[in-house]
Amino acid sequence: MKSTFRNAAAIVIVSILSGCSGTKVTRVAANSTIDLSGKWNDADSRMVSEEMLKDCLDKPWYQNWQAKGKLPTLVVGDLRNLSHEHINMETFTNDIQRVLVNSGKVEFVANASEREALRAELSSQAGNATAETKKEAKQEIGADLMMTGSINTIVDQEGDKSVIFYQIDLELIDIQSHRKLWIGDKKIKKYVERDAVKL
Amino acid sequence: MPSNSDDGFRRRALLAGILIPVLLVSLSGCANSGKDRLDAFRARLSQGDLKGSLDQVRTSKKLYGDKSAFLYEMDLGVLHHYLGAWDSSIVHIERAENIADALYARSISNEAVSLATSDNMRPYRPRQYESVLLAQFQLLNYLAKGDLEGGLVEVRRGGLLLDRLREQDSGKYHDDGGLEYLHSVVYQAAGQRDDAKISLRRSLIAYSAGKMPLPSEVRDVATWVLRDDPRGKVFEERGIAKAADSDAAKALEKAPSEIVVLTYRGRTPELDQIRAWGEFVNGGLFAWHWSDPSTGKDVTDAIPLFFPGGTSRSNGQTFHVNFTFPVRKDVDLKIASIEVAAPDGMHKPEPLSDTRILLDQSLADAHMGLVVRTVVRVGTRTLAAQKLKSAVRTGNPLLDLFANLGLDFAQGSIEQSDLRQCIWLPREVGIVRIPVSPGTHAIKVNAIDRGGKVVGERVFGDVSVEKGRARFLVAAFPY
Repeated sequence: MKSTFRNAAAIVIVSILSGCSGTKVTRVAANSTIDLSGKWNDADSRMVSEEMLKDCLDKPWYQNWQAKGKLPTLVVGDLRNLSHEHINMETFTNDIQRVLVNSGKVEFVANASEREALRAELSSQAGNATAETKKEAKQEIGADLMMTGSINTIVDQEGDKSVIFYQIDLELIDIQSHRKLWIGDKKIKKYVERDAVKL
Repeated sequence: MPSNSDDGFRRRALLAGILIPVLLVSLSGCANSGKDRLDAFRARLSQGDLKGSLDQVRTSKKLYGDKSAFLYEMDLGVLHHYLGAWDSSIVHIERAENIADALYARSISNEAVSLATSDNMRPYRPRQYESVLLAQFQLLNYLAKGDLEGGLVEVRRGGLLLDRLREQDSGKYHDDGGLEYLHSVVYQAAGQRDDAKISLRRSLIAYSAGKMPLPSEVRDVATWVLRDDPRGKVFEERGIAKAADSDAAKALEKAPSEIVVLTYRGRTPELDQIRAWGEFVNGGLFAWHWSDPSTGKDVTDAIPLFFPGGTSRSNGQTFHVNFTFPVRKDVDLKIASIEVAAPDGMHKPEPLSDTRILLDQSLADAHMGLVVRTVVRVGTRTLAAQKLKSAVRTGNPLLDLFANLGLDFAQGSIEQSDLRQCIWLPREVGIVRIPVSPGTHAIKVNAIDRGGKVVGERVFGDVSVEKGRARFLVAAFPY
């Protein structure tokens, strides 16, 4: 009788516990690092762009360019996602541009798709804006250098454990000569372990 | 000082006070949500009313409840996919995958409750072939909207999913030849020929190890593509017969461009339950029941039963055992075949997956675990019910008989198999690969019923294909 009573009580408690759930929201600093699933996140994007581009601007090509007496003008080219995750490459591209522009060491021009939109706006202005305010076509600044790159991943997994290895490759290419002025890479390794049981 | 009989009465009252509410809670929570949902959607399912089905699912979130949140998102993802709403399908399938990820950790409390009541009390985790088909739908969402890079991400994710599947014992469903072949097609379309050959080899291995017959197209293409490649040894290693040289396979390899049509035909079999119960009424009757919807067998019988030396008068006590098991139940398919009219003639889709075979495999793979859980659950519940019957015994045979039968009925109502599954899956996934020259082409897909009548049609009027590229089209007739 006693054991039956204990079992019945345990069932009631477990039933009640299983029904408990809720949502809690806490605001955190935008630059804080929070890893939940082990997937590529904003912290990875920020960290990679800051570290790689610091390295990029410290390398000899930059001093050589400075000797010409002008800031290099960059455009971001094809950044390919060759990983196993749907990574928002636009956010990554924006992080790269932000770091480079804020460094004050380079100038940036709009990329190919942005240029299309700007040219459409220019042609719209040509027919619609007043003579004093409309902008002229054929006044664009041609970029000196193009940055391209890719994100690759290798995943090793077994059961509830996995190791995710990200390799980010970036290259800076002289548009005139097609010379590669800088090649950089950044590797991130994450060990992810998932709980097999919970209360 | 309370007397022993007072103490016993209080204990019995307390026990009844706990067990009866538990029984009532269990009863209320143990409705068979899989069956209820199937009943609610059956009319639209069999009519093939995809738009109406989508609207009905959207407004039926309560019918799924928290425990089937995965299925709600999967159903929406699959229906949007059938209707060509690629972006919406991507969103819902992503949500379904996130829910499945979050369910990786098994909740001890949920497992304990389900062990005492029913598997329906557990949150629904996808069957493995459902996860694979979901990955396939997601891949096709990206490809159909022309996002090859997104499709390649899905191919890599699908590869990881299949890696996890391969951790399963051989003999179980531990790879999927259909998805491997599709990966090969996508790699080929992306110009990654080495990866295409690796996936093609894996597809052959998966088909040779699984229950799904090797599609002749996979055999033809693999024979041709792997002819001078060390990976071609897979034919000898796995004892797979090579195909004769196929003009279609050669044409695919040489074609500057390709149109790939994925077709979905018929609807997946339903899940129903075998129910068996036995009732012994002391003094004495023994009744039993057996129903198997997959065979249509339904037997209920009773015999008078007296134990030697036992009393011939009933004291109102009963003993009841009731258990169920899920079984596949086939459904009539409205669509008997599909034809794809292309510039080079008429094509028949090659079946890559059959959910009837996959469901059978899934039930077989889960059988041992299910038997153990059922034995524990039925045993625990039967013992608890017998204790409860003793606790509430009045000594009046008629009253006790009613109370006992009531408890037996309640006990039987709790026993429900978990019949949840994605009911919108197709019975068969087929593929047609059409080599074409760069330019614009018209493709027409006809769904034909058993009488040879065209009952469904999908026309792709202007399919433009660039040189060296592939276009992916989806034609769904899942009814």
